[in-house]
Amino acid sequence: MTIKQAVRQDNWGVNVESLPDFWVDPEKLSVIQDLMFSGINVMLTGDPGTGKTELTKRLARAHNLPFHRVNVGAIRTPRDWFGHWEFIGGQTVFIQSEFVAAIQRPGIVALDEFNRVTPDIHNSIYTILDHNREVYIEETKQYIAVHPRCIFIATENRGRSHTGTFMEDTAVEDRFETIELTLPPVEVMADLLEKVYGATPDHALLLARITHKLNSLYHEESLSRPTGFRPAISAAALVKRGQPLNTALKYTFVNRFSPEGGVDSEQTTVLQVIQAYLK
Amino acid sequence: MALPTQAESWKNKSLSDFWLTGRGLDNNKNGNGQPYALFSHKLLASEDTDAQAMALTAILGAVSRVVDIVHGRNKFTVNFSSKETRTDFVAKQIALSAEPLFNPPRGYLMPDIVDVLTGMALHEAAHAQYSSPEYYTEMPGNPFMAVIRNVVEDTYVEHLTTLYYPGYAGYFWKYRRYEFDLDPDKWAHKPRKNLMENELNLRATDFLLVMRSTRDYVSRVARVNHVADMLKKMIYIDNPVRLEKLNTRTVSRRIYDELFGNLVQHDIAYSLPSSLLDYNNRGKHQGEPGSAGANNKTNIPSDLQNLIQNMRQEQLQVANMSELMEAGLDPDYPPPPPPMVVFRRPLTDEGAAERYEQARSVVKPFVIRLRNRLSWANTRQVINRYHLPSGELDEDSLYQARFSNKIFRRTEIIETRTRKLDIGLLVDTSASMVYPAGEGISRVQLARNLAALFVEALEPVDSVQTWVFGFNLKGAVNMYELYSPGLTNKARIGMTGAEGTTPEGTALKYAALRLMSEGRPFVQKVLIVIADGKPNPGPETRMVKEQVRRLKALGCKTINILVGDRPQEYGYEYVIPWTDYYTVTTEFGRLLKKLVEEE
Repeated sequence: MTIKQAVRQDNWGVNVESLPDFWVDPEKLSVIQDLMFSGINVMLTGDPGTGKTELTKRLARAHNLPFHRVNVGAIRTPRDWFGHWEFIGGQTVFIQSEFVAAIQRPGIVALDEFNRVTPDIHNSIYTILDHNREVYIEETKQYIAVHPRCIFIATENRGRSHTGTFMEDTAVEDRFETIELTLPPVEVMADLLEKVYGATPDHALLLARITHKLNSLYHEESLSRPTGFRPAISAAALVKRGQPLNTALKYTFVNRFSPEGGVDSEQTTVLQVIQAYLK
Repeated sequence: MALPTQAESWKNKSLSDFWLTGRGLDNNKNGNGQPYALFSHKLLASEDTDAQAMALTAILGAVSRVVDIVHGRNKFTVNFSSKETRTDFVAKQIALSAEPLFNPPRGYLMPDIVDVLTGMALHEAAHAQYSSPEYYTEMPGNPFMAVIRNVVEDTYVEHLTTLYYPGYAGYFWKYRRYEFDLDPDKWAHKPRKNLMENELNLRATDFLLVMRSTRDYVSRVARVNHVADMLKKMIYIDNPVRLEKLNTRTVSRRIYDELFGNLVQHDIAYSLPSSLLDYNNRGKHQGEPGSAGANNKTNIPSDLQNLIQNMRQEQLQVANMSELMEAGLDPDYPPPPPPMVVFRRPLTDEGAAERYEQARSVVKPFVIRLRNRLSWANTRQVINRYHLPSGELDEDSLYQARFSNKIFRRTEIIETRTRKLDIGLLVDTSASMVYPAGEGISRVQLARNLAALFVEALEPVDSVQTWVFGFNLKGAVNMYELYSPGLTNKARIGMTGAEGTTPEGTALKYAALRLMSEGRPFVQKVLIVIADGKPNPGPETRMVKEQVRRLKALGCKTINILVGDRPQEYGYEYVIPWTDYYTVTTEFGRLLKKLVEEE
């Protein structure tokens, strides 16, 4: 069966316009889908809390595809991709990993936190990720071919605040098309906070504005760490549970930053930002 | 500005308290809202120029951060410099008046003053952000037009900023109250003999006050009130995007026409009152050529000004230091001349790592020796004795019970007192250190070797934390941070450079401050000074003895390693003259052991 036939048969390859309760730049969303349906691997980058991992999940749901997520950071040796040896019934047995099963069927395989490991860990799946799309597994002495409808989407955090991540080598970069996700614009973010996370319109707008300003201060190098969607979600949750707004802000936005340095501290900066939007 | 009900809440509280003390978020009225602690007000009142500069630097930092938040980082630098607040758009500098700090109005506390300064800085930055370029380039020749233009522009940029950042509205209010309402005489209309001039002046002044005063000023001239209402309707709208499209130049033209009609005859030269002239000048944001000196006139003493500039450049973490100064090693130091102390983290130069390696290889045989001294003192010895006729039953020897009664064992535990140490090493890097210390080795080299020895030997010991500072006086007291728990690149120890003189007293004091602020609480502090020759004469020499005494009272041990022709007379608790590595290591090790073991 060719891909053309497959397209005729089902919804394979039909882009969705938007994802429910989730925002990605519409252009990026369509490009991501075009890439993945063309059999090209996608690498999602962006600050933490911009929805990289979430997007992979939502895409699988939107297209009704099986979803398998590999936490790449937990892979310790190059062979871990394919399975591990176990001692069962007096002999060592090779237990194949779920990853090997996942790549042999249609679906989305999310390689989460792809640069959490040293590049040599990537080596053993290079042949899977390039046009060969097959791999020989020593342990079981068999060739595994990747299913033509298996889609790879990797995510990674790049940037100065991420310790424990490694620079990509060009071999990896070559095998992926990189798309950077950003925070939704203030209005959209406020809208999401209101509709999905149950914040009041005022609070939603406030949280969105604070998030955006703090994140821009990170990019201006006034703050040491980026601010994504998550603190706003936490704050909305706290407020929804009946906490006063100030307490919610303190435990979500303010306390993430260091109090060291008195007036010069990052916490003071954050307080100054919060003050700017409080009426 | 905005609604009167909102204004109500700004009037009686300081806005800066929100971040100065952290009270804002906690709603914590009774307390000292740590942990966002600020500097103290006392610092500013202090005689100590250092302390003053620290406080001013901290204020500047905080104010300029607010400006950064609104207008983006590194767009403007905020400084104290001129008597009048003004902005240099070419150099991208906002010069704040230090007037509110040095002549605070009655009843103004530090947070109120910070409010006013923040308002000033925000106002200037708002001009830069939102005023159209023609506002700076073309100044109307007609003085009354200039006044109107300035009033309109000021109101416009402030309201626009307020729309985007509602929480900062109060800062503008505070600034306006300080500027326009505190001294009624300053802005009041002064009658003129020339009736026409009098009328024009009255209208201009009243218009300014109606628009800018925070006290709901109502003019006696109905037309002024009418025109002001018109302007308010145009500017005080809620849609920032629409407001940004407003052409203030056209608006000013209209206001001018409404306010003065055809009263102003262009062939007659009317004069403005001095207050309005001042106001116009402030609006003239470009310094006139040739008057640069006058523009930079400052009401801050120049030495203080220099200190602030220096501190800003070095980006000191002044806040912590000042807290410590308050907690007080000594409140009354220094008598003149006050040295400025700068902690530097030097960039490692090319040969540094190599030199450090060299030093390390020289002292290698002594590293373990020194470390062992300390480890012995810090260990718990367990001595097991077996084959005893009494004691604990040793189950492993039970097999011989049939033949012998020596089946018991006894465990003796020798607990050597474990004690943590925070050790600071102060290395003199004054010019005299380039002289030889012995055959074929300069004092700098020797000091470097010793520093390498200490760090290599002590830093791996868990209970010990090590700091290494170089110090000299050249322009300011320079404290080079060569090694510390937060700065673990050992290559810095390989830095050379010996210049300036020996500010030993000051160095001791500030090294101790650092040790106390960064070190672990309730941990024995030890300061080791490697110096040659004498400290600077005068107050510095007195300071050494005084500081050593103070440190002793605080429980901090001081050890002096004498290099070159240094006399033994500075009161250090322990003195080790340099002879050779073996002797010094042994003596120093013995000393450390003693320190660890003694009560």
